[in-house]
Amino acid sequence: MKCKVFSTGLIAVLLTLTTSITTVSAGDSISAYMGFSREVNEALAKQIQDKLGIEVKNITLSWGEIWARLQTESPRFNADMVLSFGASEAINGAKKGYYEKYQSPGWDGIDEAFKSKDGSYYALGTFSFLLLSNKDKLAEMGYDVPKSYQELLDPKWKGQIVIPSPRTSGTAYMINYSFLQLYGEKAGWEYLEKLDENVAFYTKSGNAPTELVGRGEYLLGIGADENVLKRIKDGYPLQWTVPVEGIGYEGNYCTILKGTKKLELAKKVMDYLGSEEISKFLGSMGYIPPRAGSVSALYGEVQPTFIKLDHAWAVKNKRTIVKQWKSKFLMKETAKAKKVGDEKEKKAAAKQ
Amino acid sequence: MAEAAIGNTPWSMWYKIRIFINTHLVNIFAGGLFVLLAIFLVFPLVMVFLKSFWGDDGFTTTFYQEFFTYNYYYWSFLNTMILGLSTMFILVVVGFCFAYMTTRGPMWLRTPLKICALMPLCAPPYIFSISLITLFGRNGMINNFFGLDFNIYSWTGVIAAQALAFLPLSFMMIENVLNSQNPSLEESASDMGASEMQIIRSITIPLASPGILKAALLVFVMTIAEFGNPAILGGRIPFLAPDTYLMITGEGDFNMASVLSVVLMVPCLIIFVLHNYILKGKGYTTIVGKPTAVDPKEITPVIKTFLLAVITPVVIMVVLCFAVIFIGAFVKIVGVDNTFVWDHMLNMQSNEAIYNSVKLSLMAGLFGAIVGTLLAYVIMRGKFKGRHVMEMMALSGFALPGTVIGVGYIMAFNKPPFLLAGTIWILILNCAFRFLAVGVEAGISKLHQISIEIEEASADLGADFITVFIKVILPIMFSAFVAGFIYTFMTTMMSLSSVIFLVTPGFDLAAVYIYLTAQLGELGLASAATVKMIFIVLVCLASLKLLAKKTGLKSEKK
Repeated sequence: MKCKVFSTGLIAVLLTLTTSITTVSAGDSISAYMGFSREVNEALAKQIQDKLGIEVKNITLSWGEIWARLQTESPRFNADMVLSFGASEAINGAKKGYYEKYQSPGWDGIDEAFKSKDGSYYALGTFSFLLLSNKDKLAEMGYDVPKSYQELLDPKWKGQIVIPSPRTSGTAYMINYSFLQLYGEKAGWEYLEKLDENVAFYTKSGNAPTELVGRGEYLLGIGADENVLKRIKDGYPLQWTVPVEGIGYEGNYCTILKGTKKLELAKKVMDYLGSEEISKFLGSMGYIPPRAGSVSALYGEVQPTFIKLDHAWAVKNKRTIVKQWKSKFLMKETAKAKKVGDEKEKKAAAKQ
Repeated sequence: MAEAAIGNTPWSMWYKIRIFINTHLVNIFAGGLFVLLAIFLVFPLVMVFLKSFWGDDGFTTTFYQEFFTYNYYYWSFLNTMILGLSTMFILVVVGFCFAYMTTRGPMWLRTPLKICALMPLCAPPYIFSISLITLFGRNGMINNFFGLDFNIYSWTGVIAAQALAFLPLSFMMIENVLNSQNPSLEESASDMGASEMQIIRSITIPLASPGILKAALLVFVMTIAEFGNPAILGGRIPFLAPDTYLMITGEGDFNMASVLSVVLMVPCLIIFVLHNYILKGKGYTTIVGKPTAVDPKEITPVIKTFLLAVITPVVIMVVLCFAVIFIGAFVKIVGVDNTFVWDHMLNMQSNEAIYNSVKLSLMAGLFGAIVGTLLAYVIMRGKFKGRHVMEMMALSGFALPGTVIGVGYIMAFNKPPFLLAGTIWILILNCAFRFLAVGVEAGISKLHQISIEIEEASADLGADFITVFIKVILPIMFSAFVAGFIYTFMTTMMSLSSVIFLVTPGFDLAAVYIYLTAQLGELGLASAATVKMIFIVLVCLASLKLLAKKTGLKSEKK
C-alpha cells in the first residue's frame, strides 16, 4: 500500500519531534515570567546570559497575567523567577508565601525602599506614566501641549485621549491611584469622571497609548514611560510631558519563586540583578534604577516632579478601587444600557 | 502464510490473544478513546462549570448573581451574540458567493478566487485588525488619502475583521458541498426551462444546506470565541471573549471567568444541538462514483453581477490587508516612516516561536488525526451502547470556544493526577482534542460511503480483523486522516484563544508572539513574523501535498 510510505514518513517526523522535545538543552538555564516590555525583557535576558552564562528562558506577560499564573500554579510554579511585576503582586504574593526568602549580598548598599525586609522581593527600578502627545497632529490642529492635568478637561480634547484600563494594566492602576492621592479620593474620582468625557477608550495595555498616540490615531494619551524613548528614536512624532502636578511612579519588582529546582542559579541571578551593571542597563532603557549614580536615559540627571504616593494604601485597596473604577467607567456604557440594567435591578429588588 | 500457520496452533498464547483482539478490538479501542475524551475534553469543561459555582467558601451562586445584576455583562452578552450572528450571516452569503463562483463560474477566475478566499487561513485571525488600523485607522492610509473620517474602532471594524479572518472556514465548508453535487441535477433542471435563480433556490441551496449550516455553526463559534479582533478594535464595546481573557489575566478572577465561559458556551451548544437536529438524516450524497466533468455553464448576467458585487470588495480587502502586512514587514514603521529596512525580517526571536509553532502543530495534527480516525471508525462500526454520546462528545469540539477550553485546561491539569501544566503535552492535547471534530466527521462520512460488506467480504475470505483493519479500513480512511491532520495543523498554527493561557517560558508560539508584539504596537515585527509564518505554512502544505501525490494518494482538502 502506498499510504504506508506516507504514514511511515509521518511517523518518522513524529519520532524526531518527540526526541527533540525530550532532549534538554545543555548548559545552565532558568525560566522566568517577565513583565517589562518585550524588548527590555529580551535585552535583560541577554545581558544575564552574556555575563553569567545562564540562559533565561522567558515569556513576556503583563503583571496581571503573571499574578493569575502564580495563583493557579501555586504551589508548583512553572517558572523559577519573576522579573518585574508590581508592588501589589510582590506584597500579596509574599503574604501568601509564594516567594523564596533570600538576603542577596548583591543588593548591599541599595536604598531600603527597593528591598523587602525579609528578602522576598527586590525592586529593579521604578517607572512612571507620562502625558504623551503627537507633535504632528497637534501642530496640524493648532493646539498646544497641555501643561497640567486640568487642561485635559477642556472639551476640545473630546474623543482625543486614550488611557489604559486599570482592570488589565498595572500602569493604569498606578495612574488611577495617583489621581486619587493627588486630589484626594473624592475630588480624584470627580476628576476622573470629568476626564472620562474626553477619553476615546481605555486600552488593555499600559503601553498601548504610546503606540496609538505615536501613530497619530489619537492626539493625547496617558501611558507608561517604558517604550517612549524607543518610539521617539524609531521616528514616531511622539513627545512626552511631565505635567506641573507631577507624575506617579511604581517599582518593577523581582523575586525567586518558592519550590524552584534551580535555587542556586536563581540566587546567582538575583545577586547580579543588584549590581551596578544592571542599574546602568535599566537606566539606559529609561527606568530610574536603584543604584545611586546610574541615570535614567529618559529623564536625565534631573528627577521629574513626582506625586507623593502612599503605595501601601494602593496595594491594600486595589480590589475596591478597581471595582469602583469598573462600576464608574466600564459598567456604564450607554444611557440606554443603564436604563435596561436599572430596570433589571429594580425587578430583582422587587422579587426579593 | 508461515505466520498464519504458527498462529493457528491452538496451544499458542499468541493465538488466544489474537482471537481476543479479533473479537474485541473495536471495544478495546472504544474504551480507550472514551477515557481519552473524558479526560481531555469533558474533564476541563466540568472544571470550568464547577469553578463557576465554587468560591472560597464552597458552593455559591454569587458569581451568577453578579453576572445577572450588572448591565455591563448583559451588554457584553448581547454584543457577543450580535457579533456572532451578523458575522455568521455575512460569511454565509459571502462564502456562498465565493463557492458558487469557484465551482460554477468561469474557469480562469476559479483558482485566483479560491486562493483569495483561503489566504486568510495562513495568518492569525487578529492580524486583520492590525492591517485595518493601518488602512482605516483615524490616521490610516486610506482615511488620510481620501480625507475620510471613518472610525475603525467600532462595530464595523470588529465585524469586518472577524469576517475577513473566518472567510476561509465558511468558504471551505460551502465549496465542499457545492463541489460534491451532481451537476446533472442542475443541468436537467435547466434543460426543462428553470431559470438559474430557480435552480439556485430549489436545488443548489437545499442540497448544500448541510455545508451551509456547518459553515454557519463554525463561523458563529469561532467569531464569538476569538478575542484578538474585538480586544484590539472593540474600543468601548464590551464582548464576552476578551472579557473572559481579561478577567483572568487582568483581575485573576477565575470564578467570574468561569461564569463568563459557561455563558459563552450556552449559545454555542444550543446552536450545535440545533444543527445536529436539523441535519439528522440529511446527508445528501448526489454523487455515486466519480463526478462527471461538465463544461461550466455561463452564469446569468444578473446573478453574475450580484456575485461580483459581493465578491469584489471582499477580494480588495483581503488583498489590501495582506499587502499592508507584507509592506509592514519591510519598512521601518508602516504609515509613519516608509523607508525600506531588513531589521524586522532579520529579527531572530520570531524564528524560534515559529519553529515551536510548527513543531506543536505537527504533533497536534498527527495526534488529532490518529485519534479522530480511530474515533470515527469506532463510532461507525462499533456495536456498543453510548456510541451516539461518543459522537456528540467528539464533535462538540466544533462548538466549544477556545477561551473556555484554555481556561479549563489550566484548572484541570495543574495538579495531580494530571500534572501537565508547563509541558508541551498540555498544548498538544489541547489543540488535538479541540480540533478533533473535523477528522472525526470526515472519517464518519467516508465510512458512510463504504458499505460494511467490503469488510465482511474480506473477513469471509479468511482475513482476520487486524488484517482487515490494516489492509481495508486504513486505506479507506486515509483521506479523512489527511483532512483531520491538515485542519488541526492549520488551526493550531493560528489559534490564540486557548494556547495563550498555556504557553510557558522558553516556549513561545508564533500566534502568541504576533499577538503580543502587535499589542505593544511593534507592527513591523508582527508583520514580519506573519510573513514568515505564511511562508512556512505554505511550504508545509505544499510538501504535504507533494508527499501525498508522490505516494499516489489524493489528499482531500477540507
